[in-house]
Amino acid sequence: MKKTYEYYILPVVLPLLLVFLWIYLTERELIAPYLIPSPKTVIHTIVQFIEDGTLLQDSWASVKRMLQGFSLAVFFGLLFGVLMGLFARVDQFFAGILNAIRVIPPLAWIPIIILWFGIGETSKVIIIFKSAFFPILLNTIQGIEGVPKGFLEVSKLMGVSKRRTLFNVIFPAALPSIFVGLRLGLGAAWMAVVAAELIASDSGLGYRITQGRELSQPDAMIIGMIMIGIIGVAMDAVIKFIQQRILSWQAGIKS
Amino acid sequence: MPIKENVQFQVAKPKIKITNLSKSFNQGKNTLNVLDDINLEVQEGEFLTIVGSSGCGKSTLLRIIAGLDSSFEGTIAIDNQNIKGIRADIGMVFQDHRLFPWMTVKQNIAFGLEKVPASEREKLVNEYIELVGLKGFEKARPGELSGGMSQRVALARTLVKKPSIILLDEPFGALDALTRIQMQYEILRIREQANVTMILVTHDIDEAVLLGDRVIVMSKKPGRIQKTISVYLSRPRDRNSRDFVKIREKILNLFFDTNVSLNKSQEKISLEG
Repeated sequence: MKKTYEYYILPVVLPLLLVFLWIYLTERELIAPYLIPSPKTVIHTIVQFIEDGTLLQDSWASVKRMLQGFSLAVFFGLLFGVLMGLFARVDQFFAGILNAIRVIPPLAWIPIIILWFGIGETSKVIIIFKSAFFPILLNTIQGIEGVPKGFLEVSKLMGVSKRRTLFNVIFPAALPSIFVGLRLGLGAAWMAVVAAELIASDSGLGYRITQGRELSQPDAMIIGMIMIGIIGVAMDAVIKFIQQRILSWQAGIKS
Repeated sequence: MPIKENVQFQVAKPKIKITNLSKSFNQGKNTLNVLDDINLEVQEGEFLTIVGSSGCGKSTLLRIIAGLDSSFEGTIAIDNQNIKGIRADIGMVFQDHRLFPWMTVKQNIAFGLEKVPASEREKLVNEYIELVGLKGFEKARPGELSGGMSQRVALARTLVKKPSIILLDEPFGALDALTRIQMQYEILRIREQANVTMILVTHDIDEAVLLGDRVIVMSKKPGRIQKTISVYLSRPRDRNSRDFVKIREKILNLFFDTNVSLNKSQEKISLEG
């Protein structure tokens, strides 16, 4: 009985209270509707957005951008990560410049990228790529460098080929770390999408939020935020599912 | 007389011959002698055990023979050929089993059989799974196995390559007492079926006497061969027989002596400081 209380009832108390407060404040008109729209208005707008396809279009525009930037980041992040993790010389050659690029935040890159590539899709994909690339790169390098020495010694003693060592020992050993990079990268990519759309765009969820502010439609802003949250959590769940499938040998994941 | 010392094997030919082997690490300004002038011959088919307290360099010696450590002075010859680096016919089993957690038992054992044709590989792997008594666990992953079972898989992974020399670096050190005893008999049984030269490093004197044809006692700082003791006890050996106990006692006394002298030198240092 105590467990049910602690695990199921306690966590929902505060959210429910907030929802009731929201309903109460807006129903009694204690707060102006242009600051906080009533739940009714929000639901009404959601239905309207679903019906006229705005919701789907906005979400798809954002997800599409994110996937473009993210796939590029996965490709180059893994490529550079593997090469830099395996070969000290490659690491020495690229580490300095990549670090410098990394520490300049995406927001600081946006103006110059817009200057070079305009405000079209290319700029946004580049910003997203930049945001997702580094978490993937760094975790891939760490994963490969962190392959237990003992495993490599076994490989050597067994006299197996470099290829077998790479694909059957180094990559599997580095995978848990690589997946951390992929998840962080996905999160970063999703945040970058919204940031890019907030600044310059004519479509997507970020655009919908800016639009909401400019047209004084707080309900549109709230819907945009909710969708960003839902899609972000859903994508993380997908990648986590893939991770659990592939890394089923890892203790703690299986049972 | 059950105990003889420094007996040279006349008939058998040396499989491994180590001459004037030394190794040292630089620790800041100090040089630490890990191994100091080791001379050793191991005969073909012999089971040699090396005992010593931790830090005597016994594992380092094994790693050097395996070719995993190549910064040393002196020579190592196998079958009368000086070697440097890793050789295909030397297998090694470590204290931590080092099984790949993402592979099944079967895949782990087959890992080194890259160049063996698939059908033959299948046969070999099954044969060695049976040899180490793991039938039925082919598809299990290391995470699902006990320590003893994991060590059996590691053993099979090495044996299946049919090396002529097997180096065992405290392979049972992480196992509980009962499993360890079981594994010791297991390794003797396996050895009867495969004619290999084995060197086992341990800090367990009982284990060294039970398994070894000869026991090498090492002292530390610097790591030296303190004494070589031939164990002329017929197999299977009884741990509680008088002769067994005698040899054990003798080795124990060797340790005791070193420890006393060590304590004295430490005392001296502290007085000077």
